[in-house]
Amino acid sequence: MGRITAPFGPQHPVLPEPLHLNITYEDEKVVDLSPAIGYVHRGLEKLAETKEYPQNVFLVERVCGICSFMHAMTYSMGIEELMGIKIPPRAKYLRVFYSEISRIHSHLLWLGLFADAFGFENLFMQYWAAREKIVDLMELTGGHRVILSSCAIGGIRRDLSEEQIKIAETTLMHVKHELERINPIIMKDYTVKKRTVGKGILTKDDAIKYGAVGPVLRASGVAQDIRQLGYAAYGDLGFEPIVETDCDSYARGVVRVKESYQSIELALEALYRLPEGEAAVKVKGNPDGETLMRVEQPRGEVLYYIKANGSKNLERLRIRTPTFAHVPGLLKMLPGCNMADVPVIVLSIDPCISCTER
Amino acid sequence: MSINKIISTPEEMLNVIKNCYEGGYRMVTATCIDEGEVFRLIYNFDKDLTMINLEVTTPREKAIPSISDIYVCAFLVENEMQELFGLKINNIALDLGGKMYMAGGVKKAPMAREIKPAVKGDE
Repeated sequence: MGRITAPFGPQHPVLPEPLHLNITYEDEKVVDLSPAIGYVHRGLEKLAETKEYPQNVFLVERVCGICSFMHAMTYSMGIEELMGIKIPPRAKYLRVFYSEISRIHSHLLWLGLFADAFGFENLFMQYWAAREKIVDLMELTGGHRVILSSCAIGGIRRDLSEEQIKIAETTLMHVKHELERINPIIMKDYTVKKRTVGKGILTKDDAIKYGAVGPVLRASGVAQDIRQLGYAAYGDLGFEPIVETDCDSYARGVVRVKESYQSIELALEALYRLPEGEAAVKVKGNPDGETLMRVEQPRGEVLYYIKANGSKNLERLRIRTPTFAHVPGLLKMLPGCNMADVPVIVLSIDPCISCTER
Repeated sequence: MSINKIISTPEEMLNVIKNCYEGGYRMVTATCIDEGEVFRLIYNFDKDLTMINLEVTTPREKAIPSISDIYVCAFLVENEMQELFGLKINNIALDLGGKMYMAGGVKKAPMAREIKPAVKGDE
């Protein structure tokens, strides 16, 4: 049996993200691989040291288009902790609302791409049509479709009107009904299962050993979700992580499908229980000290380390994004699989190389 | 943020991290902070949402051992620290040779502070 080494990416039909894997095959089986990135590194951590700390809210939003709100929120939470700022209850609930519609947006985008990866283009279009409603909702409430700039240090920059809340509730119910129609296809279809069940196994022990996070970790049977820490208003809303135990690409899809429903419920609950009052407090002074802040993004845990010295500029901002934690897991998931399964398995981690490289 | 343990030697670092691994902790990440004469490293581990933060300080020119033979996933962040800060790390499981972000290799660590050599008469 001959061995060949062939590149997967950085430009690949199934993957819009510039991830490059040098894969060694023995016939059609993967036997070894080495990841390589570096196509979209922007030096954002270094840039953050040159900006004033309030400007960094807009900078970190650009780490990732899909998780932009949650990057801004994690950074803001870190600065708020350093400065001893208590945000109003209304801002906490609005942060949950924006976080959850971001999660729905991300999961539906991924489910569509996942369907496309195994050649189910009609399903891809169905998911993206549903996602479009969420993106419209983002535009209605935040003023933008992707980079919302709704989060600010001290709360939320854009409060919701009664009319916007009603439209948001109607939209979320509509998307829920759409998903009830589409989701059974991905969860029960023979072809979908044939392409995903048993592919890219990452056992519970390996998930911990390889540092997996988010839906990948939970699909390997680990009941861990950073929202359980109760940040923003999650502590009041009651929340249990979605867990699957099959440890394969199918299980990762199922986790995201179920989390989409859960996010709709959480977003609606946040709107129903939205307290009256201000959505932000004024911020004065500069941060001092160091802190770690974690938030559950759609792809998993993000960690911010912030070090400030009492001036307007930070000494250090470090961001560990979920995909950065997922890339090593591919070293375990891919060896032994067939060449044709590589795109599906790679996509099952929901890679975002823009986040990874910052 | 609280540092749970300050580690003074590379041997102690490996032992403590091995204990984390055997205790079922997930490695979250490591962070390098350039403090002039030394690099300060913070390693984060998590178990059931409880974090352990370990701190190691190392002189700029001194190499530290890789922890990637304990936590394989550490290879990526170790390559990043090596490339962006010029931190020397021995025996990384998958050493990308300074070409993780910069295909042509690193000429100068972009995140490291510039240490100006002392000029005669400054003191």
